[in-house]
Amino acid sequence: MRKLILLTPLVWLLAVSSLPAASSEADRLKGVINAAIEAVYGDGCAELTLEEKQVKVRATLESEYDLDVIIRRAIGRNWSLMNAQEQEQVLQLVKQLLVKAYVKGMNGTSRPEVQLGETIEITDKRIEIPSEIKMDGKTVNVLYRLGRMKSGWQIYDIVAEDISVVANYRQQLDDHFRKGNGQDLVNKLKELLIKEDIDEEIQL
Amino acid sequence: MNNRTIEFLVGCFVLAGLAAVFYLALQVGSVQLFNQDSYELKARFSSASGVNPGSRVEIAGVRVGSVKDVVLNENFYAIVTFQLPHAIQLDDDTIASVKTAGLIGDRFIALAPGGSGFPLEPGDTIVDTEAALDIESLISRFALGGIDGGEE
Repeated sequence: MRKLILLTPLVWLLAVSSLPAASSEADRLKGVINAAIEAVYGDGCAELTLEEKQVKVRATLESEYDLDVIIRRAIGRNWSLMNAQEQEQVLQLVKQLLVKAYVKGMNGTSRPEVQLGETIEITDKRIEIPSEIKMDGKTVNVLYRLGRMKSGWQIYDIVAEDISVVANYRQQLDDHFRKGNGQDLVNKLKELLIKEDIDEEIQL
Repeated sequence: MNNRTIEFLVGCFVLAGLAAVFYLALQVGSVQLFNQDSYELKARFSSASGVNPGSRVEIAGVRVGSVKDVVLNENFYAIVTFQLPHAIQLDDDTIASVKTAGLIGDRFIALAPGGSGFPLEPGDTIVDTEAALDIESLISRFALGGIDGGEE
Protein backbone atom coordinates (compact mmCIF):
# COMPACT_ATOMS: atom_id res chain seq x y z
CA MET A 1 0.00 0.00 0.00
CA ARG A 2 2.83 2.36 0.97
CA LYS A 3 4.58 1.48 -2.27
CA LEU A 4 1.43 2.37 -4.19
CA ILE A 5 1.15 5.73 -2.44
CA LEU A 6 4.77 6.47 -3.27
CA LEU A 7 4.35 5.39 -6.88
CA THR A 8 1.16 7.34 -7.59
CA PRO A 9 2.73 10.81 -7.76
CA LEU A 10 5.60 9.39 -9.83
CA VAL A 11 3.20 7.83 -12.34
CA TRP A 12 1.22 11.08 -12.45
CA LEU A 13 4.40 13.09 -13.02
CA LEU A 14 5.52 10.77 -15.80
CA ALA A 15 2.08 10.95 -17.42
CA VAL A 16 2.03 14.73 -17.25
CA SER A 17 5.57 15.08 -18.61
CA SER A 18 4.73 12.85 -21.57
CA LEU A 19 1.61 14.82 -22.49
CA PRO A 20 1.89 16.81 -25.69
CA ALA A 21 2.93 20.34 -24.86
CA ALA A 22 0.33 21.66 -27.28
CA SER A 23 -1.39 24.35 -25.24
CA SER A 24 1.70 25.55 -23.39
CA GLU A 25 3.69 25.81 -26.63
CA ALA A 26 0.97 27.93 -28.20
CA ASP A 27 1.11 30.26 -25.18
CA ARG A 28 4.89 30.41 -25.35
CA LEU A 29 4.80 31.19 -29.07
CA LYS A 30 2.18 33.86 -28.57
CA GLY A 31 4.31 35.43 -25.86
CA VAL A 32 7.35 35.59 -28.11
CA ILE A 33 5.38 36.98 -31.07
CA ASN A 34 3.83 39.68 -28.87
CA ALA A 35 7.22 40.53 -27.36
CA ALA A 36 8.82 40.79 -30.83
CA ILE A 37 5.99 43.08 -31.98
CA GLU A 38 6.33 45.11 -28.77
CA ALA A 39 10.07 45.50 -29.46
CA VAL A 40 9.20 47.37 -32.66
CA TYR A 41 5.89 49.10 -31.84
CA GLY A 42 6.01 49.40 -28.04
CA ASP A 43 6.03 52.63 -26.05
CA GLY A 44 9.32 54.44 -26.47
CA CYS A 45 10.39 52.25 -29.39
CA ALA A 46 9.58 54.93 -31.96
CA GLU A 47 12.75 56.79 -30.96
CA LEU A 48 14.95 53.73 -31.34
CA THR A 49 17.10 53.33 -34.43
CA LEU A 50 16.59 50.31 -36.70
CA GLU A 51 19.81 48.79 -35.32
CA GLU A 52 18.58 49.14 -31.73
CA LYS A 53 15.27 47.56 -32.66
CA GLN A 54 17.13 44.68 -34.31
CA VAL A 55 19.09 44.06 -31.10
CA LYS A 56 15.87 44.03 -29.07
CA VAL A 57 14.04 41.74 -31.48
CA ARG A 58 16.93 39.29 -31.67
CA ALA A 59 17.27 39.16 -27.90
CA THR A 60 13.52 38.51 -27.61
CA LEU A 61 13.55 35.67 -30.11
CA GLU A 62 16.71 34.07 -28.75
CA SER A 63 15.42 34.20 -25.19
CA GLU A 64 12.87 31.50 -26.09
CA TYR A 65 13.90 29.82 -29.34
CA ASP A 66 17.12 28.55 -30.86
CA LEU A 67 17.29 30.22 -34.26
CA ASP A 68 20.10 27.86 -35.29
CA VAL A 69 17.50 25.08 -35.71
CA ILE A 70 15.62 26.74 -38.55
CA ILE A 71 18.82 27.94 -40.26
CA ARG A 72 20.50 24.51 -40.00
CA ARG A 73 17.38 22.94 -41.49
CA ALA A 74 17.43 25.37 -44.41
CA ILE A 75 21.10 24.65 -45.06
CA GLY A 76 20.36 20.90 -44.97
CA ARG A 77 23.04 18.61 -46.32
CA ASN A 78 25.14 21.58 -47.46
CA TRP A 79 26.11 22.07 -43.81
CA SER A 80 28.84 19.45 -44.15
CA LEU A 81 30.31 21.29 -47.15
CA MET A 82 31.43 24.15 -44.89
CA ASN A 83 34.22 24.19 -42.32
CA ALA A 84 33.51 25.02 -38.66
CA GLN A 85 34.42 28.69 -39.06
CA GLU A 86 32.17 29.13 -42.12
CA GLN A 87 29.31 27.33 -40.36
CA GLU A 88 29.50 29.71 -37.41
CA GLN A 89 29.76 32.77 -39.66
CA VAL A 90 26.80 31.68 -41.79
CA LEU A 91 24.65 31.10 -38.70
CA GLN A 92 25.44 34.55 -37.32
CA LEU A 93 25.03 36.35 -40.65
CA VAL A 94 21.71 34.68 -41.50
CA LYS A 95 20.35 35.54 -38.04
CA GLN A 96 21.34 39.18 -38.55
CA LEU A 97 19.76 39.19 -42.01
CA LEU A 98 16.50 37.67 -40.85
CA VAL A 99 16.13 40.11 -37.98
CA LYS A 100 17.13 43.04 -40.19
CA ALA A 101 14.55 42.01 -42.81
CA TYR A 102 11.87 41.64 -40.10
CA VAL A 103 12.53 45.08 -38.56
CA LYS A 104 12.83 46.74 -41.97
CA GLY A 105 9.60 45.09 -43.12
CA MET A 106 7.73 46.32 -40.06
CA ASN A 107 9.09 49.85 -40.31
CA GLY A 108 6.39 52.39 -41.15
CA THR A 109 3.53 49.89 -41.02
CA SER A 110 0.63 49.65 -38.60
CA ARG A 111 0.96 47.30 -35.61
CA PRO A 112 0.07 43.77 -36.75
CA GLU A 113 -2.62 41.70 -35.06
CA VAL A 114 -1.75 38.05 -34.59
CA GLN A 115 -4.36 35.40 -33.88
CA LEU A 116 -3.17 31.87 -33.13
CA GLY A 117 -5.36 28.92 -34.08
CA GLU A 118 -5.78 25.47 -32.53
CA THR A 119 -2.54 23.54 -32.18
CA ILE A 120 -2.33 20.51 -34.47
CA GLU A 121 -0.47 17.52 -33.05
CA ILE A 122 1.25 15.67 -35.87
CA THR A 123 3.25 13.23 -33.76
CA ASP A 124 4.51 13.26 -30.19
CA LYS A 125 7.55 15.15 -31.46
CA ARG A 126 5.94 17.55 -33.90
CA ILE A 127 3.18 20.11 -33.68
CA GLU A 128 1.88 22.85 -35.93
CA ILE A 129 0.39 26.14 -34.79
CA PRO A 130 -1.59 28.02 -37.44
CA SER A 131 -1.93 31.77 -37.20
CA GLU A 132 -3.53 34.68 -38.96
CA ILE A 133 -1.64 37.94 -39.18
CA LYS A 134 -3.51 41.12 -40.06
CA MET A 135 -1.48 44.15 -41.03
CA ASP A 136 -2.34 47.22 -43.10
CA GLY A 137 -5.64 45.63 -44.22
CA LYS A 138 -3.96 42.45 -45.44
CA THR A 139 -4.37 39.01 -43.92
CA VAL A 140 -1.62 36.42 -44.13
CA ASN A 141 -1.90 32.81 -42.94
CA VAL A 142 1.25 31.64 -41.25
CA LEU A 143 1.89 28.15 -39.94
CA TYR A 144 4.54 27.60 -37.27
CA ARG A 145 6.09 24.12 -37.25
CA LEU A 146 7.62 23.05 -33.97
CA GLY A 147 9.65 19.98 -33.13
CA ARG A 148 10.64 18.52 -29.78
CA MET A 149 14.43 18.50 -29.61
CA LYS A 150 17.04 18.01 -26.90
CA SER A 151 16.78 21.73 -26.15
CA GLY A 152 12.97 21.55 -25.89
CA TRP A 153 10.31 22.59 -28.39
CA GLN A 154 11.85 24.63 -31.20
CA ILE A 155 10.45 26.29 -34.31
CA TYR A 156 11.96 24.45 -37.26
CA ASP A 157 9.93 25.96 -40.11
CA ILE A 158 7.51 28.78 -40.84
CA VAL A 159 5.04 28.36 -43.69
CA ALA A 160 3.51 31.58 -45.00
CA GLU A 161 0.57 31.12 -47.40
CA ASP A 162 1.65 27.52 -48.11
CA ILE A 163 5.22 28.57 -48.89
CA SER A 164 7.79 27.08 -46.54
CA VAL A 165 10.61 29.39 -45.48
CA VAL A 166 12.96 26.43 -45.06
CA ALA A 167 12.08 24.90 -48.45
CA ASN A 168 12.53 28.28 -50.14
CA TYR A 169 15.98 28.93 -48.65
CA ARG A 170 17.06 25.29 -49.00
CA GLN A 171 16.42 25.51 -52.73
CA GLN A 172 18.42 28.72 -53.01
CA LEU A 173 21.26 27.28 -50.92
CA ASP A 174 21.27 24.04 -52.94
CA ASP A 175 21.63 26.15 -56.09
CA HIS A 176 24.42 28.16 -54.47
CA PHE A 177 26.42 25.11 -53.39
CA ARG A 178 26.19 23.56 -56.86
CA LYS A 179 28.49 26.31 -58.13
CA GLY A 180 29.92 27.96 -55.02
CA ASN A 181 31.36 27.12 -51.62
CA GLY A 182 31.00 28.16 -48.00
CA GLN A 183 33.29 31.17 -48.26
CA ASP A 184 31.33 32.48 -51.27
CA LEU A 185 28.16 32.20 -49.20
CA VAL A 186 29.73 34.11 -46.30
CA ASN A 187 30.81 36.87 -48.71
CA LYS A 188 27.36 37.01 -50.29
CA LEU A 189 25.65 37.25 -46.91
CA LYS A 190 28.02 40.03 -45.83
CA GLU A 191 27.18 41.94 -49.03
CA LEU A 192 23.47 41.55 -48.33
CA LEU A 193 23.91 42.85 -44.80
CA ILE A 194 25.71 45.97 -46.01
CA LYS A 195 22.96 46.71 -48.54
CA GLU A 196 20.71 49.43 -47.16
CA ASP A 197 17.57 48.54 -49.09
CA ILE A 198 17.39 44.94 -48.00
CA ASP A 199 14.45 43.09 -49.47
CA GLU A 200 12.02 41.42 -47.09
CA GLU A 201 12.51 38.26 -49.10
CA ILE A 202 16.24 37.72 -49.10
CA GLN A 203 17.48 36.43 -52.45
CA LEU A 204 20.83 34.72 -52.17
CA MET B 1 4.93 -25.07 -95.22
CA ASN B 2 2.11 -27.18 -93.88
CA ASN B 3 -1.01 -25.92 -92.12
CA ARG B 4 0.23 -26.90 -88.69
CA THR B 5 3.34 -24.73 -88.99
CA ILE B 6 1.30 -21.77 -90.22
CA GLU B 7 -1.15 -22.15 -87.32
CA PHE B 8 1.76 -22.33 -84.88
CA LEU B 9 3.33 -19.15 -86.29
CA VAL B 10 -0.01 -17.31 -86.20
CA GLY B 11 -0.49 -18.44 -82.59
CA CYS B 12 2.97 -17.14 -81.67
CA PHE B 13 2.22 -13.83 -83.39
CA VAL B 14 -1.08 -13.44 -81.49
CA LEU B 15 0.62 -14.26 -78.18
CA ALA B 16 3.38 -11.73 -78.88
CA GLY B 17 0.70 -9.15 -79.71
CA LEU B 18 -1.17 -9.84 -76.45
CA ALA B 19 2.08 -9.62 -74.47
CA ALA B 20 2.83 -6.25 -76.09
CA VAL B 21 -0.66 -4.92 -75.24
CA PHE B 22 -0.29 -6.19 -71.64
CA TYR B 23 3.13 -4.51 -71.31
CA LEU B 24 1.73 -1.27 -72.76
CA ALA B 25 -1.18 -1.34 -70.29
CA LEU B 26 1.25 -1.78 -67.38
CA GLN B 27 3.43 1.07 -68.59
CA VAL B 28 0.51 3.45 -69.16
CA GLY B 29 -0.89 2.62 -65.72
CA SER B 30 2.57 2.93 -64.10
CA VAL B 31 2.08 -0.49 -62.55
CA GLN B 32 5.18 -2.23 -61.24
CA LEU B 33 5.00 -6.00 -61.00
CA PHE B 34 8.48 -6.51 -59.67
CA ASN B 35 9.18 -3.63 -57.32
CA GLN B 36 11.69 -5.32 -55.05
CA ASP B 37 14.15 -2.49 -55.66
CA SER B 38 11.84 0.19 -54.32
CA TYR B 39 10.31 1.20 -51.02
CA GLU B 40 7.32 3.28 -50.03
CA LEU B 41 7.13 6.60 -48.23
CA LYS B 42 4.14 8.74 -47.42
CA ALA B 43 3.69 12.49 -47.38
CA ARG B 44 0.93 14.45 -45.68
CA PHE B 45 -0.42 17.49 -47.54
CA SER B 46 -3.12 20.01 -46.71
CA SER B 47 -3.95 19.82 -50.42
CA ALA B 48 -2.70 17.33 -53.01
CA SER B 49 -4.87 18.71 -55.78
CA GLY B 50 -3.83 17.36 -59.17
CA VAL B 51 -1.62 14.60 -57.79
CA ASN B 52 -2.79 11.15 -58.89
CA PRO B 53 -1.49 7.59 -58.85
CA GLY B 54 1.29 7.54 -61.44
CA SER B 55 2.29 11.19 -60.91
CA ARG B 56 6.04 11.54 -60.89
CA VAL B 57 8.28 12.17 -57.91
CA GLU B 58 11.35 14.29 -58.58
CA ILE B 59 14.55 15.29 -56.88
CA ALA B 60 16.44 18.15 -58.53
CA GLY B 61 14.23 17.82 -61.61
CA VAL B 62 15.07 14.12 -62.08
CA ARG B 63 12.28 11.55 -61.92
CA VAL B 64 13.10 9.14 -59.12
CA GLY B 65 9.77 7.54 -58.36
CA SER B 66 6.03 7.65 -58.77
CA VAL B 67 2.91 8.15 -56.72
CA LYS B 68 1.14 4.94 -55.82
CA ASP B 69 -1.88 6.16 -53.94
CA VAL B 70 -3.64 9.33 -52.74
CA VAL B 71 -6.15 9.05 -49.90
CA LEU B 72 -7.85 11.31 -47.40
CA ASN B 73 -7.16 10.67 -43.71
CA GLU B 74 -9.51 11.17 -40.77
CA ASN B 75 -8.25 14.74 -40.23
CA PHE B 76 -8.94 15.66 -43.87
CA TYR B 77 -5.30 15.70 -44.92
CA ALA B 78 -4.24 14.14 -48.20
CA ILE B 79 -1.87 11.22 -47.66
CA VAL B 80 0.22 10.55 -50.74
CA THR B 81 2.03 7.20 -50.92
CA PHE B 82 4.93 7.06 -53.35
CA GLN B 83 7.71 4.68 -54.29
CA LEU B 84 11.42 5.39 -54.40
CA PRO B 85 14.34 3.14 -55.31
CA HIS B 86 16.36 1.77 -52.38
CA ALA B 87 19.41 3.55 -53.78
CA ILE B 88 17.86 6.87 -52.71
CA GLN B 89 17.90 7.31 -48.94
CA LEU B 90 16.32 10.44 -47.51
CA ASP B 91 16.66 12.04 -44.09
CA ASP B 92 13.70 12.89 -41.88
CA ASP B 93 13.99 16.63 -42.60
CA THR B 94 13.18 16.10 -46.28
CA ILE B 95 10.54 18.50 -47.58
CA ALA B 96 7.93 17.33 -50.08
CA SER B 97 6.21 19.94 -52.27
CA VAL B 98 3.44 19.68 -54.82
CA LYS B 99 4.72 21.47 -57.91
CA THR B 100 3.29 22.21 -61.32
CA ALA B 101 5.17 21.61 -64.55
CA GLY B 102 4.92 25.05 -66.13
CA LEU B 103 1.86 27.20 -65.49
CA ILE B 104 -0.86 24.70 -66.26
CA GLY B 105 1.12 21.48 -66.55
CA ASP B 106 0.90 18.23 -64.60
CA ARG B 107 1.28 18.25 -60.86
CA PHE B 108 4.16 16.28 -59.37
CA ILE B 109 5.92 15.80 -56.03
CA ALA B 110 9.29 17.52 -55.64
CA LEU B 111 11.50 16.32 -52.80
CA ALA B 112 14.11 18.57 -51.18
CA PRO B 113 16.47 16.20 -49.32
CA GLY B 114 17.59 17.34 -45.90
CA GLY B 115 20.71 16.54 -43.93
CA SER B 116 19.63 15.62 -40.40
CA GLY B 117 21.42 12.28 -40.46
CA PHE B 118 18.27 10.43 -39.37
CA PRO B 119 17.08 8.39 -42.36
CA LEU B 120 13.45 7.86 -43.22
CA GLU B 121 12.44 4.22 -42.95
CA PRO B 122 10.09 2.50 -45.45
CA GLY B 123 6.51 3.46 -44.59
CA ASP B 124 7.49 6.67 -42.78
CA THR B 125 5.50 9.83 -43.39
CA ILE B 126 6.98 13.16 -44.44
CA VAL B 127 5.04 15.84 -42.58
CA ASP B 128 7.09 18.84 -43.74
CA THR B 129 5.26 19.56 -46.94
CA GLU B 130 4.14 22.40 -49.17
CA ALA B 131 0.70 22.13 -50.73
CA ALA B 132 -0.01 22.92 -54.33
CA LEU B 133 -0.08 26.63 -55.09
CA ASP B 134 -3.65 27.38 -56.02
CA ILE B 135 -3.28 29.70 -59.00
CA GLU B 136 -7.04 30.11 -59.48
CA SER B 137 -7.40 31.23 -55.86
CA LEU B 138 -4.49 33.65 -56.20
CA ILE B 139 -5.97 35.14 -59.37
CA SER B 140 -9.41 35.50 -57.81
CA ARG B 141 -7.94 37.12 -54.71
CA PHE B 142 -5.94 39.48 -56.90
CA ALA B 143 -8.92 40.25 -59.14
CA LEU B 144 -11.69 40.40 -56.55
CA GLY B 145 -9.77 41.38 -53.42
CA GLY B 146 -9.82 39.83 -49.98
CA ILE B 147 -12.93 39.34 -47.88
CA ASP B 148 -11.45 41.51 -45.12
CA GLY B 149 -12.11 44.55 -47.27
CA GLY B 150 -8.52 45.73 -47.38
CA GLU B 151 -6.58 46.58 -50.47
CA GLU B 152 -4.82 43.48 -51.73
